[in-house]
Amino acid sequence: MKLPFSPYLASVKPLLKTLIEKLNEEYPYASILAQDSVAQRIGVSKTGVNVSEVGTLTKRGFVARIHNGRGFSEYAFNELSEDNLESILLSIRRTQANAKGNDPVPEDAPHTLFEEADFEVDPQALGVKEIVNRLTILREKALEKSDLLLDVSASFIWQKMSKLFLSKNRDLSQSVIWTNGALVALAARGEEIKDYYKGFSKLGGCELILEMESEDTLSKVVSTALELLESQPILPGMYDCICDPDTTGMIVHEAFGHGVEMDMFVKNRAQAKEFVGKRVASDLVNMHDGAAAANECATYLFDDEGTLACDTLVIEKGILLTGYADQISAQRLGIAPTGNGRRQSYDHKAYTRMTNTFFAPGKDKLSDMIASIEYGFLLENPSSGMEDPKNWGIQCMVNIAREIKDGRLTGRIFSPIVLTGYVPDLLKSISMMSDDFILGGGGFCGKGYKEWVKVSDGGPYIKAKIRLG
Amino acid sequence: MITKILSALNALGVSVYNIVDQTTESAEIYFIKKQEDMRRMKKIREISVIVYKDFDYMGKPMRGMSDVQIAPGMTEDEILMKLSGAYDAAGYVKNPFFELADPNVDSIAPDTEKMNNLSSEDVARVMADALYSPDTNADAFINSSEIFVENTAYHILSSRGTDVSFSKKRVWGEFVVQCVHPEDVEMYFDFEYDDLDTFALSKLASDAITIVSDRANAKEAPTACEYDLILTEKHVYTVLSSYLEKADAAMIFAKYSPYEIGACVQGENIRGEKINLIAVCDQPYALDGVKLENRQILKDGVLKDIVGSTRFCRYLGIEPKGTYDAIRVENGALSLSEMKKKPYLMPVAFSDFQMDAMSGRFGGEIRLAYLFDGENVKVVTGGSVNGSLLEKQDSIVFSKEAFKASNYTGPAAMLIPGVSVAGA
Repeated sequence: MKLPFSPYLASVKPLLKTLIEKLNEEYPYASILAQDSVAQRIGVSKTGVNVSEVGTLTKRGFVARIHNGRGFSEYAFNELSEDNLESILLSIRRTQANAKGNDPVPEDAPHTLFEEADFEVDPQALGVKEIVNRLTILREKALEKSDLLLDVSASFIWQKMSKLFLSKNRDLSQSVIWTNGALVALAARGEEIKDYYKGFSKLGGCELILEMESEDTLSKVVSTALELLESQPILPGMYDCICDPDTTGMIVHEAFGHGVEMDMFVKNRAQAKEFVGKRVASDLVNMHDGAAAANECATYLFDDEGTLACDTLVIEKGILLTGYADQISAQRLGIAPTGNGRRQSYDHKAYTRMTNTFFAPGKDKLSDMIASIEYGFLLENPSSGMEDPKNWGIQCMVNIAREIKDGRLTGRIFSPIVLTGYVPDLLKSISMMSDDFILGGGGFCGKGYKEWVKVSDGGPYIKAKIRLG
Repeated sequence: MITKILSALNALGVSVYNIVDQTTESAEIYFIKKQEDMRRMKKIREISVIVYKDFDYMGKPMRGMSDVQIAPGMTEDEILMKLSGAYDAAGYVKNPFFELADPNVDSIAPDTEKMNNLSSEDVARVMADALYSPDTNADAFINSSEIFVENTAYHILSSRGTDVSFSKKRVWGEFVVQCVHPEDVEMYFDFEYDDLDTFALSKLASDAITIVSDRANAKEAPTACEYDLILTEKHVYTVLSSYLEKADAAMIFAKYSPYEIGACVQGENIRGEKINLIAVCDQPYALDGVKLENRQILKDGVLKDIVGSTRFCRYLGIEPKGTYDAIRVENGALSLSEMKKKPYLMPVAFSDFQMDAMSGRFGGEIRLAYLFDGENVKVVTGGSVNGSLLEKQDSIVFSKEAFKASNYTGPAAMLIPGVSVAGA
């Protein structure tokens, strides 16, 4: 079925067009992004049942971007009627009055688009009662598996979003729906609590819940939490490692991906700027980013600046070809924007942001990769990561390192694990790449410590030399 | 809008609710080096409504709840449909009954003096001048910055009669400092003030430029081993705020935290310093209408109070205390210079320092640290800290010197002995 475009945005579109016309009389460039989105989180845990709309994802409002011939300014608002149109115009004028800069007026190539998302099961039609019941059953089934569990929480979140972009020459409308799920098992040893998190994601509707209900998945969530109780701190050092697709995704996204966000090139904040056309990874590595590169939670048709989505080949056979850019950064760098200008919501600034970011799969088998290691670790379950575009330092944490000895998993696990080192060293050390391809879109990405947007990342299993601590 | 919402609640027969109506006006300036890059402003009104439904389940009284966001442009029909959906959903939330917060009626006038009567745009400009005032070094400078000035007006209403209004002003932001010689490096800093503290921001920028200069001269990672670790300023807050997190009623109710009043949470045999920690309110009322006041959480390492949302405080059978973010911690007996007499590793910047309250583990990759081997101090970079507060909390030591931020007042440094560091 199709996700209908927001009736509200359709109803205010004539008023927004009037606003654009008035702004075009005063300024060389004006655009408006309108957003109407609703997101709900349903969770069950020891603290009870929680059903709430997610404030940061449930938004209805507008942002006007103006170029006054010198530079850009923006005014965000969420009260719009014929009665307050003049007041909005006054606020826009006030905001742009002091705008400085020497940016050229952006291109505004004509384009019209209207597209509604496809999906199978509507979360609102399925209903809160059914979702709560299914999550509760999942939780109870998991808790029955061991008395050592302190808790198991099950949660489900969905967002339906419509966006409308208007400028003098562009009229773009789209609707998008994504769903996420999570199972978290907590096990305690004294005061120390260990947890294992399994995320689920889909560009689509409640059909995702079926994936969460797999018996194998539930058993793995519980058994891994219990395994973690027996985990030990690792002896720091450089090891041969295999990263699972989630960990590969974290390396692609956090360690490397942030460094090729090209607003960082504009600010001279990215070492990658000096590496375009040069080797940054082994021959095995081909990296993509783009809202049109995959069907996951960061898939859309146009970005928050009205640029159509792309599939950007970032690294080809280990050579850095390009980064990705928002509209203003691309203009300053003299390149075409790549559809990566994204906002947390209409009332936040647009920055260059990642979308679906991944390494393309290789040809190896996971079993051969494990067999190739004399002593090392299989890294799983990434928990956090932080970018360092200037210095390409790695700061990533994973929950689990499974010991490999003489080509076999020994059953010993170590936790928590910090990955450190220099990004190109790690990427150049990639010596095997599996033929798997798994993307995860359960997370949000920040720019620094704020500006959260939905992303997906992943790829195959990779074998590399990594410093662990 | 509130009238429309109350009318819809009445039409649906919703007799228990909580409404938070907030309007935020902000001015934002973005800089690349000293050049203004973009200016933004916004005026946003957001209304959150929690509806409650009472029912019996297996002979026990339940109070289900569900919340929705009401946007200013919504029609009466849309509001009715949203609230109806929320009321229906609340019927499937089988949570034990609890009473909402006791009613408060109050209207606190905005403190117009707080930002020297300046407009938000002017406050942003004044703070920008303060930020860039120490930026006079050609080799070490502010690469880019973002400054936000926000004024938010709150109006909280509940079916029990709460009707309070107040406003909050804050100026916050972030900046990146860069040093180009001998190595080209950068570091991230952020700030938040509830007044026009130009002095503090200038000092922060000045310190940041010094730190990034040291970082540019740091070549080696510390050797992998255990160190007496000195954490400073905001990293001290990050570690110590885990005690506040574990004193939260929801954490205790779910048994994610073993804390109970009177427990020696630092352990029975404290060899270091006993922690005295106060939860500090940074607004007059919590969003569930509870009046906030400063509360002593730890006294000499013993748990004295539990805070948290009304629902979980009621479940624990205690008076609702509200949720807190800011803490005040008593300073220690040792000066920083005395602390530094023995070998230590003092990281002053991490790429992302994290503390997990439940596991008690803290750590992060070191961007810059000062390493004293007993004879010389050298700057180091790289490697990562991986420590356990649960294992070390009985032997931590605090500095005499204090540090103040919007969410923290307390020791500027804490020494944690024998922390594992993955290094060169």
